[in-house]
Amino acid sequence: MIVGIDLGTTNSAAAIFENGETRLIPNALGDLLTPSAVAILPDGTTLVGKPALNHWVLKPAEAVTSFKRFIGTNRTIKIGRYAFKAEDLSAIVLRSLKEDIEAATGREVTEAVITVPAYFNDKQRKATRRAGELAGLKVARLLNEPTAAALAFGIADKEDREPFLVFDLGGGTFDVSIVEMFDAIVEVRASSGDNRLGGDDFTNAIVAHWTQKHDFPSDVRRNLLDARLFQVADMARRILTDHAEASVRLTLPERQFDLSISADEFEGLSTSLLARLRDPILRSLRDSNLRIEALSDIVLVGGATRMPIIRKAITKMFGRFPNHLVHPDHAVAIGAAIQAGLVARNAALDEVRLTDICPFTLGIEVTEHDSHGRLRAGLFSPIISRNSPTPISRTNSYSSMSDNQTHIKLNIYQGESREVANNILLGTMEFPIPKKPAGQVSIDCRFTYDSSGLLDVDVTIPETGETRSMLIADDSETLTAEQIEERREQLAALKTHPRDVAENQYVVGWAARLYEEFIDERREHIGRMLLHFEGVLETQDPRAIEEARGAMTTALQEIEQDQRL
Amino acid sequence: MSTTHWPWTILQIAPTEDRKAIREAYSRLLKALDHEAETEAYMDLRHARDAALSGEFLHPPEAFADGEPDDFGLGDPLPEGAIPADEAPPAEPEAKPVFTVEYSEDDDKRFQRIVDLFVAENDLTREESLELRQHLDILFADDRMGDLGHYARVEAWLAQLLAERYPRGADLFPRISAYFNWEDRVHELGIHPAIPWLFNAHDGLRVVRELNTPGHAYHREWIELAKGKPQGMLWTRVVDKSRMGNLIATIRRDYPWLEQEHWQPGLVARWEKKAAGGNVKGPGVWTWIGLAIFALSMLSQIVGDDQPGIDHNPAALAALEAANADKHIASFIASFPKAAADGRSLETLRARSPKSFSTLQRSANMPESLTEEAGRAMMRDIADTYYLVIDNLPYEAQVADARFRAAEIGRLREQPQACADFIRNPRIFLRQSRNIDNISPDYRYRMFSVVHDEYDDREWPLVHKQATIPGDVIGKLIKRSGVPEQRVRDVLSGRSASEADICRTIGSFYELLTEIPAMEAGKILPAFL
Repeated sequence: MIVGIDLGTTNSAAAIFENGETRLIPNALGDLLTPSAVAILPDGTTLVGKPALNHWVLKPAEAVTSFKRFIGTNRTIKIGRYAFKAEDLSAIVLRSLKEDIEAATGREVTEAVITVPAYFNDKQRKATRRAGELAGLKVARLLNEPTAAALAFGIADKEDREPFLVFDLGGGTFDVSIVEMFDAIVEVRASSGDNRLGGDDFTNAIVAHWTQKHDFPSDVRRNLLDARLFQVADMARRILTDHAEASVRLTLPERQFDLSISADEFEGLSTSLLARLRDPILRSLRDSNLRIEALSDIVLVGGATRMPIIRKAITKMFGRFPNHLVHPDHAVAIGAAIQAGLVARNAALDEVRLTDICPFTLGIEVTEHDSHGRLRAGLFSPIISRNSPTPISRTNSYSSMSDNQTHIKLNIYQGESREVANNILLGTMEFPIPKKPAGQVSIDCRFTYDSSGLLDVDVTIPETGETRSMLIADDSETLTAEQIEERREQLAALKTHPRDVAENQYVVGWAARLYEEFIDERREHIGRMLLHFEGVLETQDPRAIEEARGAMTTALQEIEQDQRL
Repeated sequence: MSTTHWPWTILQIAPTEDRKAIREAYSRLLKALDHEAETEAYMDLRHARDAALSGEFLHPPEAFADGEPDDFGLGDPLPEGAIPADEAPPAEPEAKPVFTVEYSEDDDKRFQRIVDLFVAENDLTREESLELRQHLDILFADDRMGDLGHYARVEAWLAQLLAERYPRGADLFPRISAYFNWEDRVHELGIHPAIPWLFNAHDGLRVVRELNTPGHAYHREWIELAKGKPQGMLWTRVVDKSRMGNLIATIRRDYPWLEQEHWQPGLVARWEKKAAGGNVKGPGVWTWIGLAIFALSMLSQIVGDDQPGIDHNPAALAALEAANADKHIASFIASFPKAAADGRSLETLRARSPKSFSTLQRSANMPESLTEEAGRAMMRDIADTYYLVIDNLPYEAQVADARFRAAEIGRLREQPQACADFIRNPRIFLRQSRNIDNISPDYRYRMFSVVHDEYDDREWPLVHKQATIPGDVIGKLIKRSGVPEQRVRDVLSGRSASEADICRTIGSFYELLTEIPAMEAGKILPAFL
């Protein structure tokens, strides 16, 4: 079975296409959204989702969140004594989602459509695909998130739509796509974005504001302070969604801080972030030759679009109110499930077609002569220009630079700047060429960009007829099948709780977190409840456990409300 | 009509302007193929749809129906001798090529059409035509214009394509020249008048020969350039700031082979001989030079302003910056009357004053509807918006702007009646603006300055000649400009003051104007001037 997975910065979700409709799959806790958080206890037990988030607040060194921001980089993320790359952690989340689907449907899940921000670069996409493979999923397709949302939006009634704009502001990334629908063909006309802008940045603005305003103790371990501060700031940001003022309590060992922020203050803090929304929007409009008035709808996707300041900015920018028809958290997973149905050639989607584009320009570095005959290195030579329909294949010719040159080194870049220094280096390849005077050896460089947004580069030397189909050897090494298998086994060795235990584990973790956050009577109260619950767990009586868990959940919810002051 | 020509052959429908029918055809064909596997067919289909939707391919390319190659679909055939043939004797200096082709569509579309006709005529394979289009699209897309390297690649690619496959390819560039009608656009594009001529001549040797003939229109410039250069070599370095110098610098930079080989007469002769003997495969030498010059005329637009030698001279740099500031401002102002056409440039105004924005929009279409009062309010808002733009310029540019405006206003004071008339009736301005081309940017700029400086409804400069500057304004000026009090007073009273003081004071004063009540501003402005 092919499933659709929205692998988000903050939350992930899974959906399937079945009997002509899409269905979101709840996780072990019954939630449709699984926080993209992973915790690994010293004994190797792995927690995913809400339990991991709880653990992160308690022991930040043993858990990690928002790791999607580092996917495709070489950054090592340390959790306790384990070291991971972001793709490993994504794989753990994917594996957990896979298990959820298998539990819900009773069928084996082998393939998945995984969504990525449209503005994800080649490295980030390849790392996401590896994450899928590490989780034991064949990645049938990587789908751009705004495209997925557009599918969910458009397929709902299959009606023709004039161009509409998908505004996708997630936890860590921002995408804009302009899409139109005609006769069940969903056509993406242009995409743009900023893959370093998301809801987390707004939370961090609050964190920075408080850090400046308050004198937090310096003897607290840095990452503990950071984690707790981030958690309460995030909570404050959410409170501001429907309150003019948010007050929260930050609990550190031995100390408490009452922190507050008003909606106005928050808006002031966000000015520069809001300004960054503008360029991608203008660019995508320009690229699709549309004026703002020509847009038939503004579709908001991504949890961060709930923020009133974002809605206000959008309303101001577009001079109208955005559309509320799609669920900002679910649309991407639903779209992924539809794409999964398309890939599986589901009969119910017989008439539906999706055409996407490549959101950025791809090319190589070249050297040219300047007006004084000097060599000017580091210029960008585009091969596939942005917003070309995918899949696409393009060839350009280049020639050697100096006499008797023995090798050509290709630096492959993505970006829009004329200077490669401002673009993103995707990889490098080097190969020998026949020795000849400068300019006499030419090479044909072919870029192929597939429907998953993955790039292949091959080079032909017409003179020798030699073709080299090369893997881009970037610094994050490309893995062989065996290496992937090996890594998968390593990850599989991490223990997870049986599903029925997971829920109990979650409640215990939740209580433990609240225990740390409160003091005095409430803390004692939580402690007593916890003791009681652990006693019930010992009895191993499922009915008693379920009852106790229900009572405990209600009580914890009440206590949690108090944290908001 | 039958489906006899591209793109209708691909869409399998008769030529139509019905967008729905075109999209339905596209939809039907797209669903019939697996667009993710059959990428070539998909690209074809998409391209055909876009071309069909453009509404420009309703009629078959009749120009080539009878195999007549001279008309590239441009309408009237070119006049006799418009493009000098290679064998033609050197033209008389005054007999510069003249084009009388009339153009009604905008250039880009026209260019597209030429390319399409070229593709149709030469039976380019699908792959080649796609590539040609892609190259040209990128080439002519605004944000790629700065990419010189890309141009060189397109040029090389085209040259290769033309040489290898199309016996008539060498004609393409003269035709493109005709299409661009350089001569008529010399002023508009800001290129040297020699460029169209060079371009149309597309004959390097003859160019040189003619340039060496006394009496040639560009002979003097040429001699100036070639002064002191060894004979046989054309030149060795860029000479002065003239655009001709740029042109040559560009040739040297991008076409080293021209200088090294072909532009040395002996080599060219040898090369020609070989070509005549059929031993050489490749484009004719004139095609090369034509290509080169075509490239140059494009390039000169791009690089025309960066004059060699100027970048290390601070004074020149400042002048350049001032010029840029003026250009920036002028274009900003020029965009206002285009309310209906250009929404983007009005966003700032819209954000600041929705009411004025809608007034402006309405009055651009119906100048009659504008009341005097609304017109004034609107102009005031435009002025404020204008200051927003100024505020975002670097300080030097702001100063330059203040200086420029002071001079401009000084000039206008000599025509008080015209100014007063204009202030009284901005409607005239708007009515004339409907045809923006009738108004020179200078005029718009000047009018705008006046309106701004007198946006209060006083009839300056006829009335308020004796106004004074209140003390608090002077205080603010001192604080803002950072110029000591005595020197500010010197500036204001017209006593001798250093240029820096004047610029700073004036700059700050203009900033202040946006902050103090309009009535006040109207009163103190004349005193200041």
